[in-house]
Amino acid sequence: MADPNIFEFFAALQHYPFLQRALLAGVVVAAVAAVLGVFVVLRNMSMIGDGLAHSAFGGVGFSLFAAGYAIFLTPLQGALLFAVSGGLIISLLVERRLVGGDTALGIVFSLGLGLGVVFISVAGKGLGVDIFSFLFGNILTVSVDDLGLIVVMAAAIGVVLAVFYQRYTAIAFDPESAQVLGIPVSALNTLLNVLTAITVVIAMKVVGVLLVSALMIVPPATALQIGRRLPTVSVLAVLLAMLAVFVGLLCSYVFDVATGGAVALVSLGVFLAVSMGRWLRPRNEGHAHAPLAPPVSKAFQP
Amino acid sequence: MSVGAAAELPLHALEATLRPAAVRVSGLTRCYGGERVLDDISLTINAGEYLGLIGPNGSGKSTLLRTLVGLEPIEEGSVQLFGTDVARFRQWGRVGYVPQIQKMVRHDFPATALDVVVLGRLSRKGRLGRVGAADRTQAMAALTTVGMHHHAQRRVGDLSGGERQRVMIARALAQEPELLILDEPTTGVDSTSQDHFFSLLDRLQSQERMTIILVSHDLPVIMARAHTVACLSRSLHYHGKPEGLLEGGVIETVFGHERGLVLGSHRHEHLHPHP
Repeated sequence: MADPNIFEFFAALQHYPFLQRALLAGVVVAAVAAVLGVFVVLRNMSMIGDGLAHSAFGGVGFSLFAAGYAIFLTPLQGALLFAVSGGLIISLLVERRLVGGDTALGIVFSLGLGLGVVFISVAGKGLGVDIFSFLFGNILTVSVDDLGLIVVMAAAIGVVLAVFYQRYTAIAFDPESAQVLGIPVSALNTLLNVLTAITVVIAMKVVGVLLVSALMIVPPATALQIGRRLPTVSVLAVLLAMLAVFVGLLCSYVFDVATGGAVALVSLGVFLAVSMGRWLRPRNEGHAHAPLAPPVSKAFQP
Repeated sequence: MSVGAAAELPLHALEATLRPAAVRVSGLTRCYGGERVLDDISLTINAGEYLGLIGPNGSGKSTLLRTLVGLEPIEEGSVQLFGTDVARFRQWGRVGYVPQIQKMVRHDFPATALDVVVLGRLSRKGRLGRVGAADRTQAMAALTTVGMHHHAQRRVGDLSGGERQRVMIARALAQEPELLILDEPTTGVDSTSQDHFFSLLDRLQSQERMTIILVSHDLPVIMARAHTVACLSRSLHYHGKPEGLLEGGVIETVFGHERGLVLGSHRHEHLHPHP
């Protein structure tokens, strides 16, 4: 047998620091992407991850281009700069009611990709290995520095989300009535876009720009089919995303396939299984836990 | 010397003059694409007043309410809540707002009725405060008030339109507001429940001295329940005692051919206050 088996994966995990770093980075990114993703999905902004990922692509192009003019930005810094700018542009377009959310994403998406392609063609390096690993991720090359950056960013995002968790819940339920509760909806939405941009950039290393949704959207979408309350949904989404990274990494090692793709497919596989399960179950499940409703006419009694 | 019964009336009147008006609108004009939807509205609603706001479809009732709570920009004129300009107003816990029947919440929104009501308490928590166990108790009490306590643990997406409307009312009540603004709150609620609901509003007004602004299509209900009536059709056609509304021909002017609909004969019994 030429292929390594599952046990060899665990043995390798014990021996190779690069594999340990890959797993740790993957799990941390999965957690933060999923918990943020729940709010992204509830706001009907599921494509924002992809929009900002393409902005980030523009940033990578810019870093290659800028190097020719002795402005040295790492691709990661370039990506961060452009993704955060993309998030702010989306906020500006949406909050000023210039265009709808999905159109704003399309605009930022085109802008990022357009700039990226032009910058790269001007830089004259073609779509080299750097770009390829950026598009599809290269989790096995996570350095100690990368890991440090990922953990710090993830922790910062986690703290902000923990502080505003209840307010983001109110906004997700209904932005207008949240505003009348005195919640600064527009500022918090802008903050969420910035956090999403940062998450996209750190997720790039794990799954690449093209597959960010596999961690940010698919696990929350799966969790929303199972959980009845937001805290449950968030925890489930985090666990499902971590599972996807772990199993994806394992499959990638055992079957020698691209890690980013494996993570995405595992994530989708779980979504499909859960959807099938729900589809096959009897329809009245939604009311299973509800107590017998009193006749409506009895309501409002003093 | 007794300060009780004898002094009560003057004190009451004095209080009304000393407390700033709950709402003061002056010269409010709003245009949508060149057309005036609100035309030079000036309206003062005193603390403790129970105002019924009526007007035909598209008369600007909802726009006016949305402007009061800061959801619409103010282009011309001004709006004050409790003496503070609405743009600078921060004490949103004092204002409970129930919008027109919720556009369908996502059916899979992961929250129970109780979870949604608890969110109302955020209006009392400043910038960073969180809601906790005491707030859940309070939210449960509000659900009981609107007769929805049996449904506390049901998902909002599974509730009917009328039930969801009552959850939103409970959420506003959980804020312990001084001013309650309700936009067609009984849409989708059956008539017996409506009676109970209007009795609840009477109680809140008389016992808690709550200021209430109620938009309704149901003129007989407004005539029977509200203390003052404002009649809106882009501009304000009437603001005063309900009795005066029927005298000056305001209804005919504002509602035109809809008049019969508004004063529908099958509902005339509502014109008399409930016992």
